[in-house]
Amino acid sequence: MKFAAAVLVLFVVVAVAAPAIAPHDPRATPQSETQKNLPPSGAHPFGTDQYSRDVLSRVIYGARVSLGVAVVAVMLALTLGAAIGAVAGYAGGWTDIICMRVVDAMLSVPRVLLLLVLVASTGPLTVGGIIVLLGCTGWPGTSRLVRGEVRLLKERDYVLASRATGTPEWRVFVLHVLPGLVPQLLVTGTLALATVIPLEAGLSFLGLGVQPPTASWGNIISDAAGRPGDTWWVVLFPGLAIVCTVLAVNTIGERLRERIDPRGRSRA
Amino acid sequence: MRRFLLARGAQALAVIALVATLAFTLVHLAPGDPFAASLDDPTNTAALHAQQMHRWGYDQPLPVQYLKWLGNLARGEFGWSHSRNRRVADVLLETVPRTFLLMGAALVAGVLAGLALGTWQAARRGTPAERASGTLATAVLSVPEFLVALAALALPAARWHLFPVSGIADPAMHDSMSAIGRAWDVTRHLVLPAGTLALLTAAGVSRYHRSAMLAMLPEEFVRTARAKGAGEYTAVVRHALRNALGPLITIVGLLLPTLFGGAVFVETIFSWPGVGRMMVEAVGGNDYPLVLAGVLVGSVLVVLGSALADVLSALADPRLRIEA
Amino acid sequence: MHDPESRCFHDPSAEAGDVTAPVLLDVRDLVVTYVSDAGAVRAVDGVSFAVHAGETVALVGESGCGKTSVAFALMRVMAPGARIGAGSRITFDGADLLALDERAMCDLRGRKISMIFQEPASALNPVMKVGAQVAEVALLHGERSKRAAWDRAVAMLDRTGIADAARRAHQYPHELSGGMRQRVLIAMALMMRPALVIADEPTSALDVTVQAQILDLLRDLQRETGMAVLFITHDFGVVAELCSRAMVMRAGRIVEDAPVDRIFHAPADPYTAELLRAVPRLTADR
Repeated sequence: MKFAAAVLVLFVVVAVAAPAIAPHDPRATPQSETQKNLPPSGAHPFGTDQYSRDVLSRVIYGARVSLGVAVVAVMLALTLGAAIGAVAGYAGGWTDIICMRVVDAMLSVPRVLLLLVLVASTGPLTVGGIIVLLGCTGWPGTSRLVRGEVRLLKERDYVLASRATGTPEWRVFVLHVLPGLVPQLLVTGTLALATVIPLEAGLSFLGLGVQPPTASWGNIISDAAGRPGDTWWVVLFPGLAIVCTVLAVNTIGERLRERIDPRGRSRA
Repeated sequence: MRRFLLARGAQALAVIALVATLAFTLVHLAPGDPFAASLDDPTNTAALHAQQMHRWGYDQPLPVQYLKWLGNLARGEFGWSHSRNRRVADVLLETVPRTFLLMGAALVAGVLAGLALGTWQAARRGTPAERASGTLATAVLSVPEFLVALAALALPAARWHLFPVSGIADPAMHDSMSAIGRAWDVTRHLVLPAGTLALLTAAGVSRYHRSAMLAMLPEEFVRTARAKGAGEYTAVVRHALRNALGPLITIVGLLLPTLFGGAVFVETIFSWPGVGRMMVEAVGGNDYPLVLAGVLVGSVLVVLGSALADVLSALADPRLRIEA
Repeated sequence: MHDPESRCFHDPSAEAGDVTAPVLLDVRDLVVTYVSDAGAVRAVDGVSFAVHAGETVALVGESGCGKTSVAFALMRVMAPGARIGAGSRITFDGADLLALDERAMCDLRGRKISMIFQEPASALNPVMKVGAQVAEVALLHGERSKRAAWDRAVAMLDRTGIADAARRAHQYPHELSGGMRQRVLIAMALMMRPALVIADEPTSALDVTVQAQILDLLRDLQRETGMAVLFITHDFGVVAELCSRAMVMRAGRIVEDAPVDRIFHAPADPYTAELLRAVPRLTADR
């Protein structure tokens, strides 16, 4: 757990400090032929790609994009999902039924397909657009979890007690029900990161996400997709970055889940 | 039981209808009309364009359009693909079975492998081998599908030339082969893409299954089995496994959307001409009707698949079989 | 419920096991510790006793006193976190039970020592027919033919009082009543005519009327087979009905071990007396 957290922190630091630590400009394309597709060496520890760009710098700047997009998108999805799920769970009745049917429908569409359709209707997107897209397709899962949680919390004694003293419903909701959701949201959010990072990477890889020359781990890899065996460094290093972050996030998420879930149960 | 089947079937239909409605909403949120791009196609005249608009009701009020939409879908009329110059329905007829084949093979191989692995892990819990395999499974799951596919592409295929890396059939030789030859050709081409998907499926299934089995092991009836003199193998496999199978089937149903998503990448990288690759190309070519059709097909597959999984899971549990 | 005071009548020749019979089970200084994140707990703290062939002995005590842990330790079917202390010795039929490897232990379980569990609803595999579960005992211990094992299972189910046993054997546990499920567990335990049967609160989960039937059944079977029975219970009524000797357990230790008559009339240990007083009675207290 600690190791995973350290890895994650490392990546975040790298992302934030990108301009300071990247050896080259990620977009610089010195037009010299000799710089193309060089394997890793002292001057270019991660090699160069087919446009003579230094892969290391691109991976470092790519961390900004890939991690940034994922984090903001997840926060957006969490907020939307929590809001809708909470309202559905608390209000019950028709609101609940309609919301959950919509959630069912959205969950039945493989997320990748949904993203493809949306990209098809909007055309190539800015980074901000991608964030909105990922956020708006990620809320159904959260909303279902939140709804379930809210329905449980709604019947808890302290909530009933609060209502019995005449507290207005909205206050009961904000003061008593919402705080109970925080642990669950934390876990969901962390695990969602582990899904969104590869999703953004995959989309960028297909050319439908972050557009070059802005570097994202996904679109760096797509440069070498034609012959991954030949220019393996262009695939390997961004790939490793993705795998490491996802593993780290998954580990942290799982540990968090263990902590909050069997809180009342014995662990002997 | 019958009541359960009916209810589940109705639920599936309702979801499909909802998905179609969702797709309809998407079509109308998109800027312009869906057939605008097809105007670029020189064979498409203004008259044809007008005809298309009329067929789909774009010159009429929204509710009418919606009904026309549903009606068209129900009749299998999906519109025209200008990027391929064919009816969308025909494109689907060609691509859907291929994706079916790919996903089917991956599912069977992946579930069986995951089942075996998960059971073995539960039986050997606590040993270093089991812990190592668990970490390996988590590591595999942390690698995005397209990377696994690329790795498969780079290593076994390119370096060792074991299996073909693209397409569904040998372009030169396929038509001249016998029926068995053709089947074998397709199978050879299936290995890498299905294998990639199967690997990911197995890793996911084994994680769920291992948890399910571990949850079963402290159950009282397992203790009863041991008290009867059953060894570890009998207790784990005969008793715990049987109980864990029902939930497993449901889990497989839940994995379908992810599997389909993975298929999109795998098909693209291995040039497997299925629905996934069709969709990616359609997005690139602004072929909106095709993209929409792909989404609908994907959703229907998933909905039907999970309904089937639920039904099978219920059948597997004798406690639910009694009514009806 | 059963009133121990009025039932001291056991026919000595039938229930008082013959204490000159050979010692079947000999337990010395049994210690069972449960290890968990919260620390180690000694559930059984140095327990010693013996059971003779054909005897019916009760291990009585409140919930949590460690009696079930003793039972599980004897069969070596403990939970993963449990450890038997190094100084413990369990001798069964002359052999050192704790020194046996798992294979040999599996051979003993179900055949020479068997157990009847407390909660019939959860002790049976919900997705397996009851006949198959009973037949499994035979199949695990040498029976080759599935057909023959099934027939023996049906015969055993019939012997334990299940009406229409042949049809019932094809049913699943949830289709049977609580009493029938308990009879299935008894059938499983007795299939191979074990020398020692450990009955862990066999009637606690049942209705009162059914309890009486099960106890009668157990008494009959014991008379018929001459097996030794170790009753784990918190119910003095069961003790009075069926046992010739009782061992009172408290907080992991045995505080009294005496013939049933003496326990009821002249308990030596104050705790035993307290337990007896705690049994609700219709007559006024003395």
